[in-house]
Amino acid sequence: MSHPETSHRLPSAATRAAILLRIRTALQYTTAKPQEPADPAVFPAIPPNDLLQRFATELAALKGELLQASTWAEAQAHLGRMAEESQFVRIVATPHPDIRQACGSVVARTLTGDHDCGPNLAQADLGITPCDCLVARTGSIVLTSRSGFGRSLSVLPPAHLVVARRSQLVADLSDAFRLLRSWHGAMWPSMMTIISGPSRTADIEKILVLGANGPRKLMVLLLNF
Amino acid sequence: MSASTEFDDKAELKAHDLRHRAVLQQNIGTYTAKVAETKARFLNWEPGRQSARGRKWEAINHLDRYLEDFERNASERGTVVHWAVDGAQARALILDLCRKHQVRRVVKSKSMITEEIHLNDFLETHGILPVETDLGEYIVQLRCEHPYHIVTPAMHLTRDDVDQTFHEKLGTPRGSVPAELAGIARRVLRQKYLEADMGITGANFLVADTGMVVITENEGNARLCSSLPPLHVAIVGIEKVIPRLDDLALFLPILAVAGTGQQITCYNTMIGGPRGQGEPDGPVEFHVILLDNGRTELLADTEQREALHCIRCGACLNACPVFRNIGGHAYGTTYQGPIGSVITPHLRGLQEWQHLSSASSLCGACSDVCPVGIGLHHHLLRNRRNAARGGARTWREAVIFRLWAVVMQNEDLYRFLGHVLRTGQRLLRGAGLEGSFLDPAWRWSRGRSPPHMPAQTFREWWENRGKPENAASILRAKPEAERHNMPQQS
Amino acid sequence: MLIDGRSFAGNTIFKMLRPRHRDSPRLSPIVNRMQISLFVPCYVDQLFPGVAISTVRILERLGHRVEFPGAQTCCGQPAFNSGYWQEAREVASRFVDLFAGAEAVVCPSGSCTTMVRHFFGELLQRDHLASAATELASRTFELSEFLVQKLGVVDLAAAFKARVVWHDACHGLRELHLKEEPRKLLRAVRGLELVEMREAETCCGFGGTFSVKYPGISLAMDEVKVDSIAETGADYVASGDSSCLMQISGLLHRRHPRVRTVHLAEILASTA
Repeated sequence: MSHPETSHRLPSAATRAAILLRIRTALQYTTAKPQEPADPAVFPAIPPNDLLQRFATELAALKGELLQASTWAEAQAHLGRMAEESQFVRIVATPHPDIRQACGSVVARTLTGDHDCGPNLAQADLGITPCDCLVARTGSIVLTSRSGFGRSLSVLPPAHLVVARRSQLVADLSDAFRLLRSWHGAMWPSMMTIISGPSRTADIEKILVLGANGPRKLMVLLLNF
Repeated sequence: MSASTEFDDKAELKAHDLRHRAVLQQNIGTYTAKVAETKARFLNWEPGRQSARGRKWEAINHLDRYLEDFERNASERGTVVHWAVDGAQARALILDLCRKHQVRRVVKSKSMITEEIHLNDFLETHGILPVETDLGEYIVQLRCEHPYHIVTPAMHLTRDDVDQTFHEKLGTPRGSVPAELAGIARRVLRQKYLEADMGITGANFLVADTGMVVITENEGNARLCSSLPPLHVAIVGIEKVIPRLDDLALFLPILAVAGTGQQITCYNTMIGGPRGQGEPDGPVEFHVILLDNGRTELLADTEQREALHCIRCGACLNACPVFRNIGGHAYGTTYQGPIGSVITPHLRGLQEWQHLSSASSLCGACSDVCPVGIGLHHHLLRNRRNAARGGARTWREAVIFRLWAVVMQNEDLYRFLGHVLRTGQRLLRGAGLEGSFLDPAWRWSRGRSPPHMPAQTFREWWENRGKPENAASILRAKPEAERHNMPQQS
Repeated sequence: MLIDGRSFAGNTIFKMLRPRHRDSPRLSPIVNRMQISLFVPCYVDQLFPGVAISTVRILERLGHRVEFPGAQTCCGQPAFNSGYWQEAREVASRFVDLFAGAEAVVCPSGSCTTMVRHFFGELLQRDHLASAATELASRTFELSEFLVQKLGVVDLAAAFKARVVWHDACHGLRELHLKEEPRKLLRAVRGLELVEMREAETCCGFGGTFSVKYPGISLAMDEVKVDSIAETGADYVASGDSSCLMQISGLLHRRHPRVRTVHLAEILASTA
């Protein structure tokens, strides 16, 4: 006897055609287009000189941490101190030149192309990635499965460090999307994500708890050079 | 028991539950304050919502084109796109995939559409246990309850409730605080992600021009569900489509502000296909199921088509004084609150669900807050009209309004009715029967003191104005006369 | 013991028969004397005549002529809100006929004004009275709206010594966008202390037939409103809609009987 559920199964093409037909039939009747707003500016402009300050403020409000370095030595010092304070032992980093240089001897292990992501990554204390850009207005980090070297590195370990250059800071999400399209439009990565702070939940009585499923700690090491 | 009767009972029960009311007031109060603060600081709300409304109009009114664009662009990147007419088809598709890949363990992120098609129950009857990974959903799953609210599934629970649940179901020590409870859930769920054969998610948006699904979340569980298991399935309503990737620059903040009062949700992830070439991880197969399940019905209703603009932010639930007093479970539907009351008759039948549109005072707070400009309370009115036209209401009510219309079109009948009611009330009071079951207005009088009909109506006053012969009928004037003719105290 | 209605009506007739100049101080000479057609909602006519009487007195005090088309009954809102649009249409058509040619129609109710202004158009769109309905809508005003926006008047030389909290009735607030108008009027009333409450904009739970179809929910909403009122320590709660006030006073009477309800018109007509 055929399973009751399979009797619902139509060849996908037939279902597709049926749904599109229903849609086209419905759309024979039009509705009035809503008026565009008189002044469409949704977001107040951020003065270019204030971008870094704005990013810093927003990231802090999200409980992310910003470290700034003007030289490689400073960057390495930051990283060394942070790793010691937070007791990061098992560190996984992407094979990116900026990261190699910033991490120096701190990095315990660097990913290669064929690594087994799951169980080993699950033991890591910290994941280090570069990013595509930073967004000042919301204090966000934009990265993809290319810059992030996969999907899991930036979300599975309990801490995530982003190494970014000052030149990667843009004002708005619209700027970020424009950049992504210019860099990846010809061939999109399979995943892109906009990260705004460490993982959080307020599902219990609206009380904010960090590190719900994703990283509890989010840090940005900004190379001001 | 009909859905209407069940709703009556549940709503009545919850309306008197003061503890429940206090919890909701607390949680929604926090939300309301945060939203107001963010709106003032972060963006120009009115132009924002008008723009959002315009983009959604564009998407919905060219739905076929944008869905085809999505399908083409997604398929090019290796996504397998399926179409499902109803919940049964969607479930069958997923079961097929599970069978084909011998899936036993599934991790799931919060998705109202999977509630809509009752996916969890279905998979469990086939020996596949989907684990909810969103903390609120996880808690609700442990309690064997349905989500309470489309955005905050555990809004009705206190920390003590959650502590108790974890203690009973997971053996954790009593007296755990929220941070500990979340930590426990995190530990338990971590293993589940790593062991899962399949991840199932919904999506907040479908981006037509790049063929991507967009998942918005705060916890990171959806990212994990779509990164670690070898298979990822996203089920998405066809109305979720937006034309361009860049539209997200508007929609992501709008959704966050209206949904939680945040400027932007913690993780906004765009998934355009399975693991890409050269990428070290990610699912080897990515399936998107585009679900109709009654949405084309709503599309065909030009008057109410704009209800498909909904981005499932939950703002209307939080603004609704009815929801605030009866909570999410009383509705008995997947989608609660004003949006639920508007669309459920279209998705599941007017006859059975039209009562939800009547359980509203039409205050309009919902329409006020909607970030995509849906005139929700006006749609409730239209649902009522459709119900009356379609014979979905009681014949008794139809007769009453027919008689009402006759009376209101005849001034003499109207005045006569006034006299009848006046006399009737006087007799009822005189016999001490006011508020008893013999009082036709007992549904009012049970909880509130009824107004007393004055001896003289306005029109009688107007007609007698300036006629001195009527002075004799004037009784002792009371300077402190009760202004709204409520009964005097003792 | 007197039945309240009679004493109440008696009170107003008594006041009416007192020498006019003591009772209603005439304000500065009116430049533009209007003929105002009074739209009295059915429940105001039957249950709260004082509200309409006060409205007459206010408008006459400002030097305008008030006329009351006596054949009026109802605007059709109860049937409209319940979905019986055919019945509502019949009653609305009669209304449009009755008020045709009126220079201005003023109504002491936000919800009934909304019916005429916002919903007559949709209700009668396919009717031969469609354009007359639109015409009428443009000349129909809620009381506070008429005073502040149309006449530009805020001070009516009224006096009402009490602490008053204002309840924003839903239709007036969200459909007619009235928020500041009643407050401006109240601030000009001598002796009146205006206070705000936490849930000023939250629905009181009346909603017409909703109040008896879903009495449990209606009552819960009423409780939230009444608690909020009591918190302010006000002597009176005022609003522009008697239907709301009826819902609110029904529960105040049981829970906080010291607090009374009063309509905006009654305050503005008060000179003592």
